[in-house]
Amino acid sequence: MAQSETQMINPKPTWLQAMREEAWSDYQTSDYPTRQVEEWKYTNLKFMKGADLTPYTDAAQNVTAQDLPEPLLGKEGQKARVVIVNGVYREDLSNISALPQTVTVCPLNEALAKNEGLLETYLKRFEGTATHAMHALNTHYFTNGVFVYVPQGEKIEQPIEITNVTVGKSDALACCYPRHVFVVQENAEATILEHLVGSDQYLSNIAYDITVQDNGLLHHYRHQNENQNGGHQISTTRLSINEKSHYDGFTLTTGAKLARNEVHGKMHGDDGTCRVNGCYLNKDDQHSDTTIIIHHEKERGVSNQVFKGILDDAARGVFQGKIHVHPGAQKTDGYQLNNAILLCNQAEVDVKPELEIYADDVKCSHGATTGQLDDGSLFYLRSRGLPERQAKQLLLQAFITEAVDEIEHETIRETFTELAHIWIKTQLDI
Amino acid sequence: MLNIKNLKAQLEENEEVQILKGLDLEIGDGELHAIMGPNGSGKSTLSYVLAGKEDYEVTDGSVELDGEDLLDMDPEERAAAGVFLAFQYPVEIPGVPMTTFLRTAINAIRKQKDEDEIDTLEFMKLIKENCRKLGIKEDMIKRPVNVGYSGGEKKRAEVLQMAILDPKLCILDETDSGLDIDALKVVSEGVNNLRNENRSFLIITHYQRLLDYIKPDHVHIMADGKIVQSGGPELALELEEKGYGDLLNDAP
Repeated sequence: MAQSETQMINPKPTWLQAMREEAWSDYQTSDYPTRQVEEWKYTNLKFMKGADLTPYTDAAQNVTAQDLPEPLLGKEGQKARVVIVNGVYREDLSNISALPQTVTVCPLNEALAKNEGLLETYLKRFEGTATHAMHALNTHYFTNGVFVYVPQGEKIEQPIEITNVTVGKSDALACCYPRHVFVVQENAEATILEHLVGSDQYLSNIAYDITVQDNGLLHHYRHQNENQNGGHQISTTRLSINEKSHYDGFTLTTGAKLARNEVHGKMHGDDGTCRVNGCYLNKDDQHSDTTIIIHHEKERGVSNQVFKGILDDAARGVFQGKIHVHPGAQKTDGYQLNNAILLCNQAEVDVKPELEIYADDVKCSHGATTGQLDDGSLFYLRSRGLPERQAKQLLLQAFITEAVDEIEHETIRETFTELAHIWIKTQLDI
Repeated sequence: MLNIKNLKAQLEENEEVQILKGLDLEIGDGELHAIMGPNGSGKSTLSYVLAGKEDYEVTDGSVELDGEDLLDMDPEERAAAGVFLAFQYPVEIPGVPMTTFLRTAINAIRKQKDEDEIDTLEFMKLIKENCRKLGIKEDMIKRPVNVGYSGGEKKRAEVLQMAILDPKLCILDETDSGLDIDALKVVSEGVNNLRNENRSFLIITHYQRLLDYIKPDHVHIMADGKIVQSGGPELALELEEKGYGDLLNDAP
């Protein structure tokens, strides 16, 4: 049944059909993520129990331009914007006219129809990269998404915003499956900015296949602001970093009842840089999980993971970060940091840093701290006239600076800093 | 200005440790008092209790600032009432540039007094003038609060904050510790510049050395949570000569 529905949504090339079928059998045979599975020990998917897993695209046309959030960089600042609703590409709400003609930004399905071979290359590129049941579900069910292709030597200054909206159901869990493929070719540069929002109850199961070719540069920043009451998001990002290529990723997590942001980075060429950083700001019963594994396969690769978390009430944060240095990946420079502040006794953070090293000339370090606001600092600020609440806000804003400062794109760094500051000022009862 | 009567205080988390054991002290407008005393006599505790640190619990006595009950106020209210404590160990706050911090503090105090926020030009002028007087370089105040500052820079930054927040009562907790002689001179000069008939000072120090540069009107010796002897500047010199042991034995 599932396959025929998928076909109806999207008649696809035979290789893709095979991929989808294989994914379905993977989903059925793989360990379903429960607490008994090590990688999912801290994140429970019981909210999916009994859910209708088929893509809920009925509501995709219910969203109008008025329903959309403001672009993250403001109306003036954001010229190229693509809108995805429930995994459906809404060309009528998208506008990419500000981008150079040489750059392709189009629905994934259109790209599949027009340039099947290219898509086969970039989707199959990640075969063998560790996957899990949720990712298999996306591969099986994905409806549509954004295909970004930046040709050799093209440097796009204008950030491309993807506004991802999910319209859920009030009485059941709606499942949606966007799939994005980004390709930045040799010596090319691009900036992709995402704003992820939604309403009612849903699971947005998103997958990204991202390739940055030799000397390429991709800035990829996400503001995950899904519905806090019934929104769930599981995203799986697969990265291919090549020779001297550079990926700068950042996720600002403020939304979702439950979120898992999983990144698999493979550094296929010498001198690559893979930066996966973020902030998770959660309260009430929110749960956010960041799981990262970076494979250093070649020499002189640099990887960076800097995360800061603020957890209030009974919120729970999970950070699992692994740096895997393969044989021969000499002069690897891997860094990982996770600092969390718990504002309440019920808040919890589970941290699992891992280093797996099979080369003998590498520099890898990781650090993790979990604590509370420092009483000494608080007294110092109050003794200078700052009311307790303002003093706490200032310390929390200062705390996340180290992470948001990792964002290389200046304007977006300022925007994300502001977004995080607003969250601290408006969402915390401190 | 300041009137302390029979002040008793203990550690919040350990009620058995009484630190201040009935301390009396009166500081008049424009006066500068120095408190000296051996380690563990309760000098720093006195400064924290006056500034409102929550680690201490006042069990008896009263503290009034110009007739107002200081002990009833939160630390930030005390700051607005005119109390300033220069810390022995200024706290590092990564991520907050000193200038942002200074401006936030000025405005926080102004807000408590229902005054308008300081305008940018006025603020810049104020900072520039005071940095020049204290020999503070501009790049230092662009850096995060106290992060990577040398011992001398930290103490200068404390005096800078004191100067721009315009307090009535300045408490300096071992401001001389960790300073070389040049920094000591600059910091002392900064303090001396702030002296006037409406502003009072309470200077806590181990050594007479600081008092060569900042001339006190009164000197008190503190031991075991109380003031045991008071006198003029000559008391500090006597102390330097004889040491605490002799003086405390002589005490009535």
